[in-house]
Amino acid sequence: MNLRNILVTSALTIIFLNGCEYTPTGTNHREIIIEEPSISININNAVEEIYVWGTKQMDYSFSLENRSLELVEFYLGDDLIYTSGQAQGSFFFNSKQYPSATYLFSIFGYANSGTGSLADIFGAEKLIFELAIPCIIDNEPPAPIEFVDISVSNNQLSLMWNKYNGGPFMRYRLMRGKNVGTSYMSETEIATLGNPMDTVFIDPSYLGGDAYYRIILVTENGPGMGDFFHFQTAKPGFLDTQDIYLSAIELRWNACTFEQNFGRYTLYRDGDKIFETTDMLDTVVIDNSAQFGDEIEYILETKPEVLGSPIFSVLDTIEKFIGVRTENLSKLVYNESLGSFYTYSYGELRRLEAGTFQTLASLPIESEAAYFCFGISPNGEIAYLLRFWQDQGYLLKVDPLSLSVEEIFTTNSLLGYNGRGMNNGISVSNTNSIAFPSFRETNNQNWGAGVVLLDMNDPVWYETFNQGYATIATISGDGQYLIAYESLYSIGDHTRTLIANLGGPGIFRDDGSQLIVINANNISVYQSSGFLNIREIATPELLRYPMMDPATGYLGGHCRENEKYLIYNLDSGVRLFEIPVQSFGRYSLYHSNLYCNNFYLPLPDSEND
Amino acid sequence: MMKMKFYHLIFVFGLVPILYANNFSQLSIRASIGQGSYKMTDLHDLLDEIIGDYAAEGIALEATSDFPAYYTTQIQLLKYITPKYQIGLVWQHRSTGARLHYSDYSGSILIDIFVNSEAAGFKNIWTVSNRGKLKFESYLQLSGIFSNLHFSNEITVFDEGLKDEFTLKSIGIGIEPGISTTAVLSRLSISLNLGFQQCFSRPLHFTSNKEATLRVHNREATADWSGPRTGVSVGFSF
Repeated sequence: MNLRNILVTSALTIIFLNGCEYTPTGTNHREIIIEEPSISININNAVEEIYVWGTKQMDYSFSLENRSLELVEFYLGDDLIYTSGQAQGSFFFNSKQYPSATYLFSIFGYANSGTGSLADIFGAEKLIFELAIPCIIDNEPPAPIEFVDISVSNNQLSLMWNKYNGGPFMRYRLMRGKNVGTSYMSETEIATLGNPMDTVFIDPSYLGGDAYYRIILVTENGPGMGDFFHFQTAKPGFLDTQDIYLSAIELRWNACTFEQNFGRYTLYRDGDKIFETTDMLDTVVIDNSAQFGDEIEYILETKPEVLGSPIFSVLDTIEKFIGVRTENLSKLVYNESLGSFYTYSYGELRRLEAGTFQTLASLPIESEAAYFCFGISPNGEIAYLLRFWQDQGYLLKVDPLSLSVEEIFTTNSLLGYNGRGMNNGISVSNTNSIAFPSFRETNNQNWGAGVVLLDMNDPVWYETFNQGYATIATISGDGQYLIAYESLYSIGDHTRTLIANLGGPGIFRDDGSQLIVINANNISVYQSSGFLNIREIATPELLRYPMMDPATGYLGGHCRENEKYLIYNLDSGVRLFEIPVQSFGRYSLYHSNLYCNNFYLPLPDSEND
Repeated sequence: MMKMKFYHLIFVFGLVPILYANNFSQLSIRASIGQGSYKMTDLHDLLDEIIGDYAAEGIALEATSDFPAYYTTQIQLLKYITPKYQIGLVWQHRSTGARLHYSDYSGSILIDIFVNSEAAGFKNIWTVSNRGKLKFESYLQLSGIFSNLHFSNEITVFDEGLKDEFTLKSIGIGIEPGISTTAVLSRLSISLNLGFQQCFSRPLHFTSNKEATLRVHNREATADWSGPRTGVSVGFSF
């Protein structure tokens, strides 16, 4: 065997040894069916939009069907605001760094694909999901909400408004207002409702009348101030009633109809409480302490059972008075013979028909009112007036019916000084004599006050009573007597003779045949001739400003201490009327009426007369 | 692919002097092909461990090949010392392997383990009886075993791929008793043999670092070629 064969054999051996090399084979391929993933994304339970205000906690969760979330990114617009690797969690979003507007809130999430494939396992295959939802950032105060209905049902006031559907709700504040003046509304909170679903409120404070309501919607972004809504129903208020009393005032009012809310009535007279009741149907009060001579302000306050704020009280005011209101009859003079009143006001002397107060005649005449005096003789035929104008005193004789001026004198021409009359007026006799208290200031000499007696048939002045203070000067109708300075004089031909010191004011009865003297506790009736005492009538106190009604002959006077006006029948000595009056005021008894200011009280026929 | 290896050259250049030294007298050469089944306990465990590891990741790797029985080739150079006793050199080559595979629409994982060995040693053959042209023999083969394990792991996901491979080696010894029958046809002979090889190997270690060994289930792994052997050989007597 040669070498060549050996080598060939060796080569074949090597080939043989290595000719059957094993090679692993086989495959294991899996078919994977990829199903559409079902993923749910929740962000603050929002459905169509996210409403954000202030710093908002954003709660999120993702249901990924056994997939593992790797990363989720939250964007507001293009701004990345939060990232997380958790499928559920929350974060705080400060919306105040963005202007209030609607943005796009986007969520981008990355999870494994969940197919179970190699790529899924090795992270080369991802499931990417996203959600875009409008995000409304609202950091502005809310728009106010208004009432949709305010009505009364079952005697209760029901307020209803639209539910607030916006964000950061905190509460409804229900306010009730009341006009204070013309431009200011005082308001009080009557309810706070913390549930936005509460949109109806029964007002337990409403008792009728005017009420103003509004809702303040309070949110975390501030309040939304609603406008006041005015609501009105009939309120508990005074009814017009006619007085039927000489010494009392009847007050009636319509009852409150809100029985559930009613608390009490309180009645005030000139600011003082005079009546209170919790009986809703007790609506009549007779005020027995009312006084004649001025109007009285009554206030009816109706208060609710609950809620003590004063603005919930319903107030009604009425001016009531005893008697009848008329025009202001200042410087009133009455003449029974003519059935006329004379009054001076606003620069005009007028003659009025008694009973109707119809103007029968008038005379424009300028005078300082304080010094204007008018007098008429009892028979109604002679009338004089004193005026003082531009520092000059005048005496005018006027026609009692037409008030036309018949004669004009200056006081200086009659008296020798620039005299003027006093409030107490002029007394005129049927014989054309006059007497009046006079005031003079012509010079320091003879300065003061006195009484002037003039016979106008032959006017001669003489100074009789310069005692330095004013008084009442009354001349009898027949012209024979004069009362001045609480003394009785007889009048002769330019003479006067003292008959008696009366000790009190005196007035003539009839034409002067009788004399009535008023003392501290009695009324004395005298026969003028001879000053003979006829009758004494006891009085509780001094009757001030005594006056005899020419129509009835009754004597009336003002008892200041007892605040009464007493009227007596001089013939019988019976006290006919006791009328409550105020301690101040000037009262006049004319024509069966008691007058004061712009009121008069018709006196009924006396049964005792 | 067949490759010329260093020990092949040693075999060839060792065989030539032997043949010349003996002047080819009483020499025969046999080429044998057979089939061997291999125990490979540690490598089976290695497969189980890999499958388990991937299963934990959710990947259902499956062993499509699992160190199956495979062909063995063997060259024997024998010399009759006595009429009933032969001794000679033997060179044996064998290979097997395993594949773990998984694929879906997105990619694949392919793990191939190829393991082979060269066994060189001595073979003693005793002729038990002659029945005409048939001889019944028993044999005992002692050999050193040089094992190679090539591991490759290729992961492909979509268009991206990653491949990792390394080679391990180990040495061991094997002893194979067996019986055979040979039909002698002039200079040619045909033999059938049946035996069992028991192997004892050192742990598989990396080629770059002999201290780094393959560990499976926390123990050093070996390539255990133990198993029954069958084969048929064709001999030529010089």
